[in-house]
Amino acid sequence: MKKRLKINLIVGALLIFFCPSCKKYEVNYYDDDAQVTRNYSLTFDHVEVVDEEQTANINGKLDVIEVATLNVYLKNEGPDPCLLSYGTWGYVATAASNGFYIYNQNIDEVKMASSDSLGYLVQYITPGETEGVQVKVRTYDMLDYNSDVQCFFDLIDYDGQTHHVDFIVHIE
Amino acid sequence: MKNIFTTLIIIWASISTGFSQSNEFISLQSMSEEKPINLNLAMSDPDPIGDGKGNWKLSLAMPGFGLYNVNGNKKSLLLMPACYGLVGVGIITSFIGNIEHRNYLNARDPALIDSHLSKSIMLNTAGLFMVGSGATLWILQVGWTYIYGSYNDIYRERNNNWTDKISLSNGGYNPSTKTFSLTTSIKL
Repeated sequence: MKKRLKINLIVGALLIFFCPSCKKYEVNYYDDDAQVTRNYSLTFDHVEVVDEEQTANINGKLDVIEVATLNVYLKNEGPDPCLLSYGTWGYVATAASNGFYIYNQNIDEVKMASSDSLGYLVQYITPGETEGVQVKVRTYDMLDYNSDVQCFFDLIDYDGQTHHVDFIVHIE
Repeated sequence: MKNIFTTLIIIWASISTGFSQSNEFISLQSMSEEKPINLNLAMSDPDPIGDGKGNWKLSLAMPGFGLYNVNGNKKSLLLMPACYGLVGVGIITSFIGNIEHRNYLNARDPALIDSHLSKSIMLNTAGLFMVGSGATLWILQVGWTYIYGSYNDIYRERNNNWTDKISLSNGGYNPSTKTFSLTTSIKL
């Protein structure tokens, strides 16, 4: 009887010791180390052009003969946050895109436009919000005025999913 | 006259004693009478016995105090600060860890996310360890108080019945086998 009581006591005490460690903690979906699968879709919103004079043109119109930074704004349709890691971007080669040159086809590390204002590297898009992915381009005078260049993103998130987004850059 | 009579008795006693010492047969013959001897061991060797198993309730409320009542060891009293301390500090640590975890959930800066998460894991682990250790110690000392107290109750009952249950008697000398016997009896 006493021996059984001792064993029960020890087992009970050990259960109390270890049970709390089974508690599941909520995961931050903005944590790139979180072992979760985020569910969301991305859509193109608009392009902001920041030219050599650091003048932002939110209409997304690119001048001919210009070195510029494009903030391609994507909208996260949710429901989860998206956390982009790296990817590529490019354009569809047509007669209209002759003279359109991209600097960094491989995006080694996605950097959102709000990184500078927030003071840290932003790689996420909150559900329902838009964020600009920064890419750099150069245009030459072969480009036709008032033409559209068809571009695309293939962005890979921290879950390993690839998201293809098409967008248009307008040349004025 | 009285002095003379006393002197004669002393002389006779000395002679008879000397004779009995020199004559083994006569000396042993006198021990052959069986005279049981009752030995009250509980009275001769009193052993203080602590309180009974009912002290587990005291140990549950005030760790160590019930155990002190049953085993009389003052070191048992250290269990109260140990249990209260471990559980209390553990709860506070876990509470701070939960705050860090909430900060982690609200953070967007990767550096802050890492910082809050590591702090949260460290504090929650430490808190769980302390609460677990304190609770384990708490439960075990309650159980130990109950078990120790149970034995105290048993021993106390045995002591109360000691003289009725145990007796030691002199079996006397058997001249035919030249053996001397002592008999112990235990009533179960």
